[in-house]
Amino acid sequence: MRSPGPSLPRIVAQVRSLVDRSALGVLIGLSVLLLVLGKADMKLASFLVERFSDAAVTVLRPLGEPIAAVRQGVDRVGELLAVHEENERLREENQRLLAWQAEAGRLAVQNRALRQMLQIPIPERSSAWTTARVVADSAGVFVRTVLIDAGAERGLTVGMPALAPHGLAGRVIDVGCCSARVLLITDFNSRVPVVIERSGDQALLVGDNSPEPGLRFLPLNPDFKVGDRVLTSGRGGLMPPGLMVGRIAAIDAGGKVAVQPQVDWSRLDHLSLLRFEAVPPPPVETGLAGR
Amino acid sequence: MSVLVAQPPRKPGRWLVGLVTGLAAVLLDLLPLPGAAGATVGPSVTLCVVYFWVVHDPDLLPPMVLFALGLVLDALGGMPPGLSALALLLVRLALLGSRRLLLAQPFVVVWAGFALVVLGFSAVRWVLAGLWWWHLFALKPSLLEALFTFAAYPPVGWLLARFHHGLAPRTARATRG
Repeated sequence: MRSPGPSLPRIVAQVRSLVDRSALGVLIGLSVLLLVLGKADMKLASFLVERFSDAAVTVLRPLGEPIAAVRQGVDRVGELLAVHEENERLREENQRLLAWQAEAGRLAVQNRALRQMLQIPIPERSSAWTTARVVADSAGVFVRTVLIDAGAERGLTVGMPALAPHGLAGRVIDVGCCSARVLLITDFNSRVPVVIERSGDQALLVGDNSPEPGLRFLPLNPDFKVGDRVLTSGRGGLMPPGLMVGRIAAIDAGGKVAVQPQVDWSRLDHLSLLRFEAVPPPPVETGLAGR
Repeated sequence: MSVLVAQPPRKPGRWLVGLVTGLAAVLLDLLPLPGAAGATVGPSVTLCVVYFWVVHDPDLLPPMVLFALGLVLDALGGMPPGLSALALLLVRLALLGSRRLLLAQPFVVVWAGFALVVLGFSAVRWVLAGLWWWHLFALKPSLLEALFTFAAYPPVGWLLARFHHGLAPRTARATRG
């Protein structure tokens, strides 16, 4: 004989529903709280995220292996199909590079001699590099960052330039023990002082989350054209001068200038981190430092 | 609640299935796949997985698991902590009342429901990210991401349906009833 009133499964289901709904409400509140706390105390949020990223890198690193292997396999097939043309291209490039090497050697000797004559100290070039693998990229459309599998244990510090094989990709913004986050030059928060190689015009490369960041704060009568090379200027002392950034891709009628970065975003497997000692800020606050 | 009476007894540890499939989706979203970094926009596989489980078997994705998935996505993706967690929890909240209705419909209607969820999800993230960074983000990338996510649902849903059927056929039939 069945007893009247609610059955046990029904009671369990009702309790379950209540718990789930309460948990949902509490966790939604907690998410909002995290957002507010993250905004109010960015250091705490970035500390927690760094610790978590350190732990996650150990999982993400082996998972990236098969992807890299597949990509290399596809590349290898493509290379085999075009090996003859590639060989011809490399021969021509080698000839050009040999000529440039000779020219660079001659200029280096001349430069050293001129510096000695003018008694300008010869700077010690920083050539310390370390290479790290990209293990994760940004989720979604709002940020352009990548997570790499090297951190403080390999000497990484905030601000270090990160380079892809052909040009500047970004700079380190967060460093954990064995992971770091790199802000790409296409991110809307990225600002890089640059110079147009041919004309010497100074500008600021400003990311806007699009593949082609723009140039801002140009001089009044800039003298450059589409195709000109854009290099880091070293202004502000945060980056070494002369790093390849890209080429001017378009200049529209309104004066907006777009730069095509010299980075193949689809093959961003590894990044080279340049150990660069930033120029210390001047002792007197001028109001312009850090811009 | 009549809806709840029809549900089978909860088996302990079922949420692990949701957690594992959710983490796999998060990794798919985060791993640097060809063409992903820096320039292009891709689908949110995580949202596809979350929608499927919340509609077909919400026991697999309790709020705590959704919250954890969102935090992982935020921490590793460089997003503000809590943003994706909040958006995913809101998806569950929005579907609580309508999942029964969706289950009784053909796939095309479920897919159309997903379109609304994707748009809502993208809108919530767009607004929250804009407020957090105090920046007016372009709408086009968000709409493109929503479109790709919408297009990715049929294959992801098909895979999960096969998996779900193989995992617990009796339970799946019961929830679909």
